Amino acid sequence: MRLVFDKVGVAYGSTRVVAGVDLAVEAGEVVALVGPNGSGKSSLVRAAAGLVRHAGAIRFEGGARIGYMPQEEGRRPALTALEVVLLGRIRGLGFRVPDAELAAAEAMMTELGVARFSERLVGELSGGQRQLVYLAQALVAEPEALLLDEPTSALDLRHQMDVLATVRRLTRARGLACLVVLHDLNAAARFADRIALLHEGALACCAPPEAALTAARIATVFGVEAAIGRAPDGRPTVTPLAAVG
Amino acid sequence: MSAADIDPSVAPSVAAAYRARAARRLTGLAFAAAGLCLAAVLDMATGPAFLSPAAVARSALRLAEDRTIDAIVWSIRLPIAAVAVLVGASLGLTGAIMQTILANPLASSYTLGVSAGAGFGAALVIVMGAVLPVPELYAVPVAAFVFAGVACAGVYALGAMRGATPELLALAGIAMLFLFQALLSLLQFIASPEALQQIVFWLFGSLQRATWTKAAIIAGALALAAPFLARDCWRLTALKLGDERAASLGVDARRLRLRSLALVSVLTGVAVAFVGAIGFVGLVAPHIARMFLGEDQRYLLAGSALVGALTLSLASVASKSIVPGALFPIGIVTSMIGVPFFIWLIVRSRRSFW
Repeated sequence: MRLVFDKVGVAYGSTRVVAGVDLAVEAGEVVALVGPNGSGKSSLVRAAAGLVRHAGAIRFEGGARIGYMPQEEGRRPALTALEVVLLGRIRGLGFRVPDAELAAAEAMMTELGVARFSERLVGELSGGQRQLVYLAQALVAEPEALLLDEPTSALDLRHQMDVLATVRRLTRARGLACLVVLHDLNAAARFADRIALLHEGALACCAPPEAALTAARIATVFGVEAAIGRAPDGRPTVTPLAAVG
Repeated sequence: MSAADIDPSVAPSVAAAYRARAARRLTGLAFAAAGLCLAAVLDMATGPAFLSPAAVARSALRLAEDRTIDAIVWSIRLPIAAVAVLVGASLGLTGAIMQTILANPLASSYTLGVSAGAGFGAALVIVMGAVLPVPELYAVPVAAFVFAGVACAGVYALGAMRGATPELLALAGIAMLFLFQALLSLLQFIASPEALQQIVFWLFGSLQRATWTKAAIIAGALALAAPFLARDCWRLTALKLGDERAASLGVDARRLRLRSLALVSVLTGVAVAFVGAIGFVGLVAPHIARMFLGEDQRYLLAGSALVGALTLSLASVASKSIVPGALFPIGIVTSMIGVPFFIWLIVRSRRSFW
């Protein structure tokens, strides 16, 4: 399916945090949403998830099911990893959990490599394992669009790679439209098909990584002087050097 | 039969481990239920006239006929034991619901002003006494029930002014607690010595006023709540992940909180109206149940009700046994058991279960 933002704006009271964003995420494509703190990244994703009111239109063309994964906020419920994943299928759960729902949860946990933690409490898992469990929860509902808000914040390098590679693999395999908020420009450059740069609530550009991440644009948007390099596969790398001004 | 028997593509691990855990939890619930039956029989056996637990059980189950024993058991001891079980279950259940919807381990109808509201309602009727056209016997429980509802509505109305978030609802509950305690103190200050004594006695809580009618009303309230809770239990579990995640799963947290608070108001109102303000059962029972059963609300709600019932049954036995031949107020007994347990609960932090 295709996820289309048409002149989308978000305001909290009289404060406008997002204005006039036009963006389309194609099926099978990962678009990374990057920008400084307060640039409206989370608000845009939350608007798409239907959690905040917005101006303009957000259309899910050729699909209806959305998987949304909010930012990790440090809650440690005494629920097992399996119970958390099962909640992704909440509509099918009765007082007894049907075998089909259990099988769906198990299959997804196996696919993301967290099946062996199924009976552990989510609060006792490591941050990376927990993110994968929540990702399994978002994916087990068989969404056609995937909205992820900073899925890799607070993860070590290995787990960042694990989570993002998994997201990209499933996006391709299932033809999802995937919009992922990322802080790390290098991670965005490595895993995204396109990078959407938000600057003060407006879209500064949306282009493939090598076109989006230029030294001039990073200076304007982030206020940072950066050296742009090339990874062996040709994707850009960003080395921040100093604050501008 | 496990999932692996039906679908060969399911490796036995996850599904089988889940079914095994479910079986363990059901066994735990069964043990709690068995313990509750024993406690209820013990409750019926304890009293001024000594009856052997075996004779009591035979009479309660209509297995043997003995007019004296039947008369004591059926007209006095059984209603008291039944009300202890039902009120304990109601308070345990409301505590678990409140702790879940307010995301707060200190929440219960006692700590968040609902019981205080009921206490104020009862005291109001006692003080006004002769002025009312209705006999006090009926007016006191009705007023307690109504003011439990008022307190609950107050909690929600105050909290809803800023989005009905769990933090605000908990603060609103504390505000209600202090408000109704202050109003209650005011009533006690202006009450006649006789009315004051009556208020104090009511606030101690007592199971001695139990009748079959009261037991039936409390059972009715529980039966009314059960289908709602059965339908909402997975949504309540989703709420444990936080409002944002719950919303992403399609759960309307605000409406769920409102619905759940309405149930809490009815269950607390009915329970407290008939037996007075009995503390701590609602606070402590869910914590015990959570330690053994986890946060899956299907088990937690059932477990909290069972543990609450068990606690109050044992408190009833204790209230009759501490001073032989005399009755110790059950509200005091539950707090005496509850406080040390609660302190132990706070101090013990080997594994965080909240």
